[in-house]
Amino acid sequence: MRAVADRSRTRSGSPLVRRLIIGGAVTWLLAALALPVASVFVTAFSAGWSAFADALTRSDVLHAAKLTAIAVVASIGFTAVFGLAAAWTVTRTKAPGRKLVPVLLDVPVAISPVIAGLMILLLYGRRGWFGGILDNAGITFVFALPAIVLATIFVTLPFVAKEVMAVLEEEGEDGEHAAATLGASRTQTVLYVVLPNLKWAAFYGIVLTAARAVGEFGAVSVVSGNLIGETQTLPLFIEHAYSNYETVAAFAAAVPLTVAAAFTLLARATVAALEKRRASIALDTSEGGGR
Amino acid sequence: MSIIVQSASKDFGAFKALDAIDLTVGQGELLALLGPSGSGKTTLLRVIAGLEVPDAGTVQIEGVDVTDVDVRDRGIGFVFQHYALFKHMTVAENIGFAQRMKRAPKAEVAERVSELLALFRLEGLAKRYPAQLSGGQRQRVALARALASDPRVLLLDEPFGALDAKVRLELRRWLRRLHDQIGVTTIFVTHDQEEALEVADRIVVMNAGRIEQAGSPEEVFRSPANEFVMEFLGNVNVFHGEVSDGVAHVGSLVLDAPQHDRAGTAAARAYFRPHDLDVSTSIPEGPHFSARVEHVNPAGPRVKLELEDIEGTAIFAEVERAVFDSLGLAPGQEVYVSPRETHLFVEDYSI
Repeated sequence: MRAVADRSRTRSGSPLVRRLIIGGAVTWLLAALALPVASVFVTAFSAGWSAFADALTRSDVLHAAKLTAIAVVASIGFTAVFGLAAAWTVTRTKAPGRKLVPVLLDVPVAISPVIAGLMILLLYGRRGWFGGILDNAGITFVFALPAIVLATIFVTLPFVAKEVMAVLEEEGEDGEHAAATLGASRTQTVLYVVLPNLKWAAFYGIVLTAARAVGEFGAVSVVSGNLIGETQTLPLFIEHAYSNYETVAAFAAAVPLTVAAAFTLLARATVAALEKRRASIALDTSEGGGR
Repeated sequence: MSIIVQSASKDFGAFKALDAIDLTVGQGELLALLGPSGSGKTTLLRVIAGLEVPDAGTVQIEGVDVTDVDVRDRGIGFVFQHYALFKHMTVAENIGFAQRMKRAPKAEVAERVSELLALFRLEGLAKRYPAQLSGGQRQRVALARALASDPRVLLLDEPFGALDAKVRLELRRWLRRLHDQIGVTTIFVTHDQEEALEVADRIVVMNAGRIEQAGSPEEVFRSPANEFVMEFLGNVNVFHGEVSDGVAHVGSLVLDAPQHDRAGTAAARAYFRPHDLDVSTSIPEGPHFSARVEHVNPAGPRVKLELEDIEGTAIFAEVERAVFDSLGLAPGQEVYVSPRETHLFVEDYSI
């Protein structure tokens, strides 16, 4: 007993201080993270299961969910393709201005989503720079699906690019060069060497993209017009329902978003665990080569 | 001739990596490119491989000008410094890569892979991933992979650089035996003179993008062409002085220098390797100077002595253990030092 107490004291001060620090951290985590999440579920089900089910199957909720799903899928598709291309350009080509790309990629993160929305209005709105052209072509851009998708893409743009860029940077070109010395064509090198190496980074970037796209509020709220059952995404619906005292409907609609967030965390943890297992296997070898 | 490089030059910005290099490598030769970092040795290797395009000059492999031929069509095997194994592929998949890319029949690939696994003593590791291998094993996988499609030329970039000292020693002997067994023309890059001296048939010493000397290990070690080669291949003591009329005065030594018998005086430097210095407690015959023992390091196969001559210059000598014991040397003792072998370099006569 005494030995244990002694050891803990040498490790980090007195047991009382340790307990206070740990206790404080746990309390804070509960208050700031666990309680709010729990409250979503408690409130959503506060009027019973059927009220929850009714709220989720309302046509405006379903329509909002559909819009959100479209925005998510579109932004995943776009940021994945753009991300791979941008990362490749920056790390593997001598394209002029390539060093500016990482800086530009920080813009969507640094800029307030509301400003991002306003920029889209200024460019593509009826009285915006390209508004006339779009109008003449008979395309409704703002206060419609295209602007919602564009706003979502804008805020999610850097995620895949940054993850993939980090891997390409770290791995260097040796793998690609090795494939070339072994007679692989460029296509074969991309298919069998480059892409398999990038799959986890790209997957992680896509997970982040999905998480951000599902929850995007600021930019979308500016460009969508927030027309119920027409241009309202799930986060917009939640805000709208809540400010109209439809508490159960608002929190019921929040449940799928919360579940999506949980999935994101799970996917992220899985990737991390897989990589850790690989690393621990690597540490497990001790045989000395040569002979 | 297997490889002929003619006046190859390559700049990286203001840095001259290769400065009009000419190099010829014989069929089946095992050649070392030796030099400090930045000497251009790796650039030369990569130019031969086709991973780097020279600004000027040509490369021929087996009589064919391959200067404009893509790396994938040059028929070379390349082992990267950090092996560049494909992490997501097993050992067997790595080794079979070249043949799979050629769409060889599965049975043929499997046969070649098991042949190479046996040759490289990697049986039992076929299903492992690179992360599960030791450094020495990775290095053998990289070699096996590079040899899988029977390259005409094998190129290795610092093949032992990333290994422990002991594994390195074993692997370089093994590389020598492997080369004798399969006989493929091989060039390896190294900054380790011992490695080059032990493994290679011929050594090319490089410095600042140029070749300083090319020759057998013995030639390069025994008759260095210039001071750079002398200093790069092992430890040296340097004495400054001058030579006139076939006699050199360096430090407190007077040495015969019959090959420098021109009239007039020129600056000269004499180099002595630590193991070419004889140390004794009685006055020896021939040229010698006196010094004091400063430090003794008896660890290792030979005893290392740090001496100081009367001018206060530090001198390093190595003597046999038996000699050391019979002389009973200790710090503070006065000794006589006589060089068995001197390398004298004379600057251009300025008259």
